Amino acid sequence: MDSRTGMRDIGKPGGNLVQLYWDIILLTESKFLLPQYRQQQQSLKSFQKYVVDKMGVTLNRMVKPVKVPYSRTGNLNTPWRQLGIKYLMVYLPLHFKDVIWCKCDQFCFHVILPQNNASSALRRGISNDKEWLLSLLELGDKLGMQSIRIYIGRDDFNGVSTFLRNLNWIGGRLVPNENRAGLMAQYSSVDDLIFGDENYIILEFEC
Amino acid sequence: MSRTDIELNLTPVDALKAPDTHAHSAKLSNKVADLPYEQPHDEIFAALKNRIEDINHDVCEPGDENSFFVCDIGEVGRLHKNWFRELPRVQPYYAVKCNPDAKVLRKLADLGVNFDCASKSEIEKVLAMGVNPERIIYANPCKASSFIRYAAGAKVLKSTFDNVEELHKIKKYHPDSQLLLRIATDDSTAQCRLSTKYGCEMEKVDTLLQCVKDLGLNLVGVSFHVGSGASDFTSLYTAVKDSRTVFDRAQDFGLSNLKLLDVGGGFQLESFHDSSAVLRSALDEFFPQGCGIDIIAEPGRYFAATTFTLAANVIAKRKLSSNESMLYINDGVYGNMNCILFDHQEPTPRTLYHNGEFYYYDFNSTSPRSFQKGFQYPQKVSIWGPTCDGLDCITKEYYIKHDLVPGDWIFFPSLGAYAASAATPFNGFEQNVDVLYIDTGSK
Repeated sequence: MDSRTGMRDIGKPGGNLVQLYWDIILLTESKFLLPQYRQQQQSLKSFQKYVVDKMGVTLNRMVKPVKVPYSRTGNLNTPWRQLGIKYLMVYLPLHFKDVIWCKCDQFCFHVILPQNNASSALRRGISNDKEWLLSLLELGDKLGMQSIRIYIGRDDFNGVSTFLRNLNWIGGRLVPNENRAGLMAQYSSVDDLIFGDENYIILEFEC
Repeated sequence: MSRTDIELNLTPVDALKAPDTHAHSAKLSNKVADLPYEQPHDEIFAALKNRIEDINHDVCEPGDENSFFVCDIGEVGRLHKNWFRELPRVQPYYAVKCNPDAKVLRKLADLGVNFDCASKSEIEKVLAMGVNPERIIYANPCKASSFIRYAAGAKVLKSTFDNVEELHKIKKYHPDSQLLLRIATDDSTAQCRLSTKYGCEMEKVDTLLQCVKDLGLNLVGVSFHVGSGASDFTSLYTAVKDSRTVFDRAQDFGLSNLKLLDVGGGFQLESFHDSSAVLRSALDEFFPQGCGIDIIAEPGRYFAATTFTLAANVIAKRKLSSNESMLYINDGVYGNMNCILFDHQEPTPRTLYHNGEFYYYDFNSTSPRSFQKGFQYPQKVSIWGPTCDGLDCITKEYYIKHDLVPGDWIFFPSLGAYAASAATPFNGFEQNVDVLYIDTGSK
């Protein structure tokens, strides 16, 4: 999904902030849309409806707390499938030229590094540049999160693999991607299948 | 994961006759590491064999065929003895991140080894064993404020730093910290280069010393790390020499409380004798006995690597030609072999069980080359983990005597360093690491 889609002018009085918030939510969640669905108009509509419906249910529950039957919240390794409690746009212009889309659940801060320029930042990381990681760790701590998961695009394996080689030194660990084969059993909605994490290498750190 | 969990397009395996292993078997001649003492192969083999023989394939429970480690606690004792034989002046602080196995940590603690922790959970784990926080150094080179606050709360005082921003955070959250200035070293010959990422360059040392003085912090020493798997030990000599320079500069700044030199880690058993000789000589020259400076080190793989042997089950095979195939095993980089990604390790696979026979003692059952010691290996394989992920590759090319099939077992000797770390409890989620403990301490 193009990040220009639905740009809002929030500088004007009465600028539509609510719409902006929706855009942030949708753009963040769209990072987990599988590439084959990103260009299909029908899939994008399904995606939008799916996120809006799910968020609607969540907000309703917050406003009118009702007992809901227990339901599995999904695999512990795939908390990215849950909508966030908070959504953030983080801008670290010294390291990434694009905005970083983030969301928080109760415990974990999910950070999706911009795919098109993450690898160059990772490469710079080799030459004594750990600031961007520290900044994100500090932000995760400020948000009261226990851990941070960083989603790094697989589009430049070399940049990523070099970063991985110092991972144990900085207390990170590699999180396996979800088991797509087990998805059908776990999720009832066909809409769930348009999402995936296979384009990312996922790293987890303590905050 | 059982062998039925992944679907692959399997081709029937040709019934090739395996070469006579005894004809080529050279007991103990193809060692993974050249060790200063004999490893207790009989006990390790017995543990591997018993476990595999105990699996009844008709009635086995899910998980019975999981990969597993054999951990020889006695090896830790032998390594400890060897450490002090080579480096009697150097107190080891075991790098917990290398392998946080609880029994290994316990053994090390009982032997008087101290601990180098890189995260909150590592500190927690070590303290939970009743270890005094004075025996811990917090050496994470990328510390967020919350980590520093945690160290302060846990009364872990020793900590490294390499930049001004970190000093300001320490001043704010842990002003009583006993600080070691980490200097950059020449790690160009190391397999795992660290200083390019961590450590203060010598020309910036004065700035840090000035900042320490201005903030009124407690600088107690200097630290460095030459990287793991260094092939040229002159970097150790240079780093010790540079450390001496920092000690002297600190005096010029009126910082006179320095009493600790941390010579880092990167020690490997195979090269330990040689690296120790260089280090001893450098210490004798720049920090001679009786100079009032205590010497510490942060070894990880030295204590962990040879302590563990990993066995894994072949769960699937894709035949590419009559003598070339892709083998899938039930362990990989997302399990117990993340050392491949994180540590530049190239694990050595060996045939353990094939066609109803055990081949542990055939140390030439595999080779990284097709032709070795006059023997042409008939099978070329690549070995993959179970996730079907491109990262999950254990080896792209290896040569083996046996035409392995699903159900066979292979083993990886000396695979304790940075192997099980990711598969141990993390954030409260227990993951499966099956470890069989043996203790050959009396051998």
